[in-house]
Formats: sequence, structure tokens, C-alpha cells
Amino acid sequence: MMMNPVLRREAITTLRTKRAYATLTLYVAANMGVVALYLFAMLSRGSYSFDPQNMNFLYLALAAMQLAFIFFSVPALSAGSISGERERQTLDLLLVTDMTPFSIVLGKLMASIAMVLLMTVATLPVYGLLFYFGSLAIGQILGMVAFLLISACMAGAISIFFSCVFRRTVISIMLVYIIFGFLCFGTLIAVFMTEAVYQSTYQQSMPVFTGFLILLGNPLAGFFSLAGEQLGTNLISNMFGFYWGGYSDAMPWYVEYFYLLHLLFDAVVILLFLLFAVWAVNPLGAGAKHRAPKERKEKKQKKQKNSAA
Amino acid sequence: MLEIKGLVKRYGRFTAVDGLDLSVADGSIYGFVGPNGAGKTTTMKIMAGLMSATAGSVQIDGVDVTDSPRILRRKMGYMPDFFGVYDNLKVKEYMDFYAGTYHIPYDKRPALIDSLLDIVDLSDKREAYVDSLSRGMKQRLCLARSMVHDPELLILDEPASGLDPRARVEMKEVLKQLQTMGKTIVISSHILPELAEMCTEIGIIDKGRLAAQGSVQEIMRKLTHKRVIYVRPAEQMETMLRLLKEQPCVGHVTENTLDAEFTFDGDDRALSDILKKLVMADVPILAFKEKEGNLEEIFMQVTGGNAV
Repeated sequence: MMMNPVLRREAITTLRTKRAYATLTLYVAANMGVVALYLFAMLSRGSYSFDPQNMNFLYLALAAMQLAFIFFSVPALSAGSISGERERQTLDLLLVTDMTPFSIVLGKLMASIAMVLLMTVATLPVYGLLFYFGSLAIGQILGMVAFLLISACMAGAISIFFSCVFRRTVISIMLVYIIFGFLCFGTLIAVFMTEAVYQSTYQQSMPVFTGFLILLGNPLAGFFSLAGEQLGTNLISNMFGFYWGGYSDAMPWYVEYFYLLHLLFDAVVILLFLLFAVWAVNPLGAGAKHRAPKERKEKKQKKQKNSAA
Repeated sequence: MLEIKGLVKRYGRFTAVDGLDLSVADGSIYGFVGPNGAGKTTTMKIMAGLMSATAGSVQIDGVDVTDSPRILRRKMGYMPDFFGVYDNLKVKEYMDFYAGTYHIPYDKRPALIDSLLDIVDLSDKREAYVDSLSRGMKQRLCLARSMVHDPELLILDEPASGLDPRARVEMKEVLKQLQTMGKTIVISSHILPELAEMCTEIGIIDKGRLAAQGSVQEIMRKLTHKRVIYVRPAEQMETMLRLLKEQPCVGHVTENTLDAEFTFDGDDRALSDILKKLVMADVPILAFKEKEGNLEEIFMQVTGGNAV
């Protein structure tokens, strides 16, 4: 089976730069730094006894760091994937080949995820420390890596779609950050506002299902749901259960398996945005018809600018 | 091989291509000439399946470009007027990447890349980074890239633009080699004389319409109505001039010191008869040929005086 040519080329060109190795080194060093600081703090308290709770917190901190890194780095890596080809005047050369627009978009997505995967794998030895203390099973860590990769795919798919639509990479990056800002914090604010409306109107908490629906796309909620499940604290379930008091003993299945439903939401978003991206990049598709007059206008403006200079 | 019928491309109110009809035969080199903004690049992009037409059709071997773009992309190689290259990529890796985009197996690629680089005379640059190549070399590399899947048809949009005279000559040499390999080539330029000597047929496009089509000679004949013949005798200039003026198909005769030119309004048979008469009259003829005429003048005439 042949490797996607776009992925292969991106791997060659990216790994040939010193920047890639410098980023990788810095990232692993940052992860190591967090662990070292944590252990130093633990030992400086004079406690040489082992408390698994401490290791749970360290695991959470490391995984959260990975998630934050993904949300900042993936848009930066993928938002220029198609617009960069257009700016470099290599997109037409790619579109006239035997590759379908889908395989081009998929190659771009895989290329941006590959870097994240490399960084995640490079930091796995750091997690080895957690094994040393025996607080986590390997399956749990792999589960978290899978969650992080799916989150990276979602960020990548949205970024690539914007990269197909907008000519300027900066605009694509900004839009992806706005979307993720909304998903992480906007939905949280929406939950509190809805709760306030329910309290003032009906003098009771909103139904648990409403809160669940609003938070479904929230990557932080998905992350804490999974982490809670792995650490046995069930952070999100507690949030749903105690904050709204919608249920007492029986936890609804959609709360218990919130992280799985969130991942399903991610999968749908990935698929939709990849299809949108294919639609936008296809030169004979409907997306191209809307783009052509704009391209002509921009070309004309560039020409006028050059002649004026 | 290539058939374009009633091609129209509009951007809002602006019409870039306006009812273009043309056909290109197998194995020919078709020169697509026109001033800047005439619609050449738009037409070529539609041919390459990079743009959809507002109306009309582009067919390659009877298959419509918009109906089966993938099948046609396998038959066709395209070189755009402006293109970029990737940073941090060597020439052999660049070629390998495009070979991969056409699903050419890994084991067949090294030999293929070597042969293509040999055709474009870049064999010694295999290990060089593509962004370090000169403009002319990049143009040749792009041409090699467009042939990686051995297409029957090559669509080359101004391949010689921005090249210095030496690089232009080198590019022409490569194109001549491709012609001998039996490729059908559609090549555009805004400079007619640049194409005239290598093309079997040319089409002059102006304001999105085909203003003239045929061989250079045919177009000249159509536009000037008369052919200009150059003749040089070793001696007996007076006899030759007298004989020429007696011929019914010969119009104006211009006498120079060593040679002469005359306008001729007849077919090839009548022209050979004139040569025969001169030889029978013992005029020692050193040269007797049809002049190519002033191509720039014709181009300006066809395109309504648009500056090149």
C-alpha cells in the first residue's frame, strides 16, 4: 500500500528543518519540567511517603498540557496547509494530478496530526514515571492518547476547511481559535446563563439533558469526563449531578459515557469539515465557482499595486 | 485529440472566453497565441480541468473534461504560467512526490525520474534543492514533472516566459524532442514569432475569441491574400525579371542588387511552373523560396493592434 504522497512530502520537508527538532526538544523538556517541579515540590514538603492522589493530579496536569498544546499548535500547523499551497502557487500542480481532492485534504490532515502524534509519542516516557508509582494502567494512557488524537483531528479538519476557503492563513488561524474558544468557554457560559434563566423562570435547575446538550461539543468537558472516568472521580458526572441536582442515584447513560458521546460529536465534526474542505478545494466543484471572481479581483488589485509601485 | 466547442467563461459581467472553437490533431504542436488578457490562461485552465466553463465543452479523445476529470488528468500533463516549488525538497524528491500523486509504484520511480531529468537536461541536479534552481531550470523541471505519468497531451502555458535567450533555446530544444516522441502539445505564448517555427498549427486568440487558426503560412495567406516569393539568380537578373513580369500570377516585383522578391497569387503548381520556366530559360537559380513574412505585423493585424 502506498503512503499518501502529500503526507510523505510534508514529512520529508518538515523533518528536514531544525525548527521541528527544536520544537520537539522544547516540548519534551517542558513536560519533563512539569514532572520535575511536581516531584521537587512533593519532596520539599518533607514527605517521602507515596500518595496515589498526587500522581493522579500529575497525570491530569500532563494530559491537560497535551490538550492545550494540541489546541494551540494544530491550527497553526494546518490552517496554512491549503492556503500555503495557493500562496506558493503549487496548488494547481497538485490539483491536476491523479489525486482526488479528498486524498489531498486527508494527506494534509494526516501531515498536521503526524507532528502532534510524534510529540505525544515522544512524551510517553514521561508518563512512564506514573507507571513507576503504579497509579495508572497502560490502557488508560492509550485511551487518553486516542482522545487527544481525535481532538487534534477535529482541530485539524476545521483548520483545513478554513484554509481552503480563505486565502490568508492568519484569518484561518483566528477563526479556528474563535471556534475553539466558543466550544471551551462559550458553551460553559451558555450553561450558566441557561441555568440562571431556568432558576429565575421556573425556580428550579435546568434538566440535566439540556446541560449535556450544550456541553456536548466542549473539549474540556470531554477531557474531564474521560480523566474523571480513569481516575475514578467522575468530575463531569459530579458537575451534572450536584450542580443541577437533576438526579440522585441513577446516573443517566449520557452523563456516565459523556466522553464517548463527545468523541462521537468530534467524529461527526471531522467528517463534515473534511467534506466541506473537499467541496471547497475541488476546482470543478461548486466551491470554486464562488471563489473565481474574488481571485480575479485580488489579482487585479495586486497588478495595480505593482504598477503603482 | 482535443476538441473545444463554443467555450464560454464569464466572471460576473466580464467575459474572459467568448465562444471559442478549436481542434488539435494527434501528434501536433498547437501554438496558442494572443495578447495579455486575451483568455489563453483561462482556456488552458479549463482544458486542464482546473476551472469550470460557463458554457461549451472541452473534449479529449471524445471525453468531456468536466464529466471525467480524473481519466483526462491521466492523459494530460499541465504546466501553468506561474508556479512555485517546495522548500527543503531535492529535485529527485520533487519528482518522486509527483510520481506518487500518479500512483506510480516505488520501484519504477528511480528509472523514470532519471529518464525524465535526462530529457530536460537536469540529470546533474538530482541532489540539488528545487528552490536553489534557476528560473530556466525550474521551468524545465516543471516540464519534466508534467510528463511523469507519460501523458499523450501536454498543455504548456507560456513555458518560455521570463527566460533569458539561452534558456529559451534550451526549452525549445526540449519541446522539439517531445515532438519527436509523438506527444501532442498545446503551447501558449503572447509572442507569435517565438512559436511560429516549432508549431504545426497556431490559433490566434483575441478578446476571448479565436481570430485565426491554421498553419503560419495559411494564416499569412489568408490575411495577406498574396504570397511573397524570394528568388536569387547567380546571373541573368534582367532575363529573370522580364520572365517574372510576364507571368499572370505574379504581381509586384521588387528588385534588389543580388536578388528579387515578387508577390504571387496562385497555387503551388503555378509557382513550380514559374521556377520551371526560369530554369528552362537558362537562368541559374541559387534560391527560390516562399518568404515567411512579418509575423509581428500579422499578429497586430489579427488582434486589432493590441500591443504585445
